[in-house]
Amino acid sequence: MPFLSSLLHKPVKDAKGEDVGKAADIVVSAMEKPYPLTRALVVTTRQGEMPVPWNQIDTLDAEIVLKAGLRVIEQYDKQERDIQLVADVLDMQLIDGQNAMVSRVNDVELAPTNGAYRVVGVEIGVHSFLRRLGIGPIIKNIGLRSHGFIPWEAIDVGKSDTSGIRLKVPKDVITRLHPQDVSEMAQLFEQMPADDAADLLMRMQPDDAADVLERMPTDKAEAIFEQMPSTQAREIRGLLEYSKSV
Amino acid sequence: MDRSSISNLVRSPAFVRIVVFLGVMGPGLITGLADDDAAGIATYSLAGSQFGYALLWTFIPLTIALSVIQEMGVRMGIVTGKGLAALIREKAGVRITFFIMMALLATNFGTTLAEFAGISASASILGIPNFIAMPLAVLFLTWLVVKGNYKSVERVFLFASVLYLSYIVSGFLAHPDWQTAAISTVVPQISFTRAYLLMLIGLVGTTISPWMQFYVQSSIAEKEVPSARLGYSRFDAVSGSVVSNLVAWFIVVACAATIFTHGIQVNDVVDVSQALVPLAGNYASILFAVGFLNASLFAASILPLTTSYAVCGGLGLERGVSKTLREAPVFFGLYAGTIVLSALIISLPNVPLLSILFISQVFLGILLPFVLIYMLLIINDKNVMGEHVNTRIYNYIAWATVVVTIGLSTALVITQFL
Repeated sequence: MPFLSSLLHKPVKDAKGEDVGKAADIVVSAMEKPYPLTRALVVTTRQGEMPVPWNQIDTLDAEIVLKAGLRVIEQYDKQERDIQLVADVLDMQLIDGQNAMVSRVNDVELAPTNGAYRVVGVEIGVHSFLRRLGIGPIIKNIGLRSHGFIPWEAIDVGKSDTSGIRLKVPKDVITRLHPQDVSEMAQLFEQMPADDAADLLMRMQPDDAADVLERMPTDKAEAIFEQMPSTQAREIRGLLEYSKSV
Repeated sequence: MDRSSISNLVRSPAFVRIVVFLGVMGPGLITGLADDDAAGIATYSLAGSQFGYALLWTFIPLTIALSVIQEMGVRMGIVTGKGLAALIREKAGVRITFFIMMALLATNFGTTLAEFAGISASASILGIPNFIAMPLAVLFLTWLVVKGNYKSVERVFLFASVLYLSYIVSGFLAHPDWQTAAISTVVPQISFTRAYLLMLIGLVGTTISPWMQFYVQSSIAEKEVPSARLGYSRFDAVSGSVVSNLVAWFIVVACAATIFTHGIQVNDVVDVSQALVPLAGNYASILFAVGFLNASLFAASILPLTTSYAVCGGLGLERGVSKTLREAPVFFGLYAGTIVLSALIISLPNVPLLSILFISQVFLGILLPFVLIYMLLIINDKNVMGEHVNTRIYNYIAWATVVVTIGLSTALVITQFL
């Protein structure tokens, strides 16, 4: 499960293996709901920033390899409601339905689908903040749990008069997920590898994770449970049993 | 005055402008005067007591430097509606922001301790015992910000600003040699003795502090001054810098005219206040002590507020004096926590205050270059500032100011280790 922060600054090479620049930003559409596909990768080259259409990316690992040379590739044509994940989302302010400040966005979570990625949600909270600081693994080992995941579905991307984009979480998802979001997430998680889905679910509120798993086919849910540490799996199973018995 | 002349006056453009300014005024003036805090007053009185009028010339370049830096803070606050920590987070990401937040937290905490030491010292000059002064100060400072809103807190701060007039009055009571003072202000007298250079660096360090840029911008953002009022706010920032240095000038003059002229040895503000009794009279001494208490209390509120604004701004948590405790728990928690902890530490016997101030000064010196350079990078970013980026000439002045300030503050850090 890649984070936006881990994709940034990766070296970008063309088809011949020549260095052309570094990954700087990702373009998605604010119109696309619930989970938008990545449309273009903004590469900082010696000639400035260039948006490369996502279908021109050959492989994306430790380095990003393009399908052709930079000169051959036609630049991505920016659309009306396109947003950039680094410029408009990462480190930006999240507000709630009452316009109160919630947190800044510590990271953006992406899920692989057929050669591209979908924006799954954003991360707030201590865990992702420490990971950005570069001391995430230490915290993971002492077992600090975080519930700092907000699905993209719940975020209202609007325009604001002062700072360009306004990220609003109108529903109170910080405490509880909306039923609509639960079913959307269940569908998304079904298509994801079990270990990635398990990883995401463990960072949600246990109640919400149980709700999502409840809407998935039993075999898929079991596969995800197998990827979780036993204590967390037991806790979520307990909640599942409870909701079934009610 | 008859009715028509009054209505003409009210309609006159000059009158309208003054009324608009009175509404916008606040953040710049408050930041400037809070800069004359316990440590500042101690430095100015020692500068006057030990070097007479010789260092007065520094106040003209210091006023220009402070005006330039504060004006940029005001402009960024009005144009973006955000605090400096928020803008640094958006520009530079988590790591730099975290580093700046932590350094600011540390240096502000050290300085708040110095303010409480100032409260304790001035209370003792005025004959108030510590066990009464400390709890009263904590209660008052916490109540003021937690219960108040932006407007009421600003009014109290502006009232505290007016009390700085006491230093100007005690300057007059000291009967200085005005002619020498005036000449020394415009003609630099540079000497290359170690003591003189240390005092010079100390004056720069106490005048240009990183908390000021955070405070002025956050309070402008909370006040929500509209961009149409930018001109008035700039005037507020510049007048704050001028008044701040004017008060400092009078403190130096008062001490130069009395303590320096009579060759009396002083080591701290208590000495200065006591030395003033036979030289300038009881009133001058009491005014000096009252001014010192006021300045210490004032800064003991502003510095923790700055920490709260910066930490909440960097993390994106709800913030602001007008919010309730329930809406912004981290904001008020950091504020009250800093104050209570400072008062407790100062109340302990044998607090190593000098060592604490030393560490605080080192953090401040490390922090200042980062803050000033990020300010310049952000204020020249068209995506953030639009048409309000610095002009080229303004950039020359700003970069020169920043380079000299950074040089001297680095020198200050180095002298701490000598």
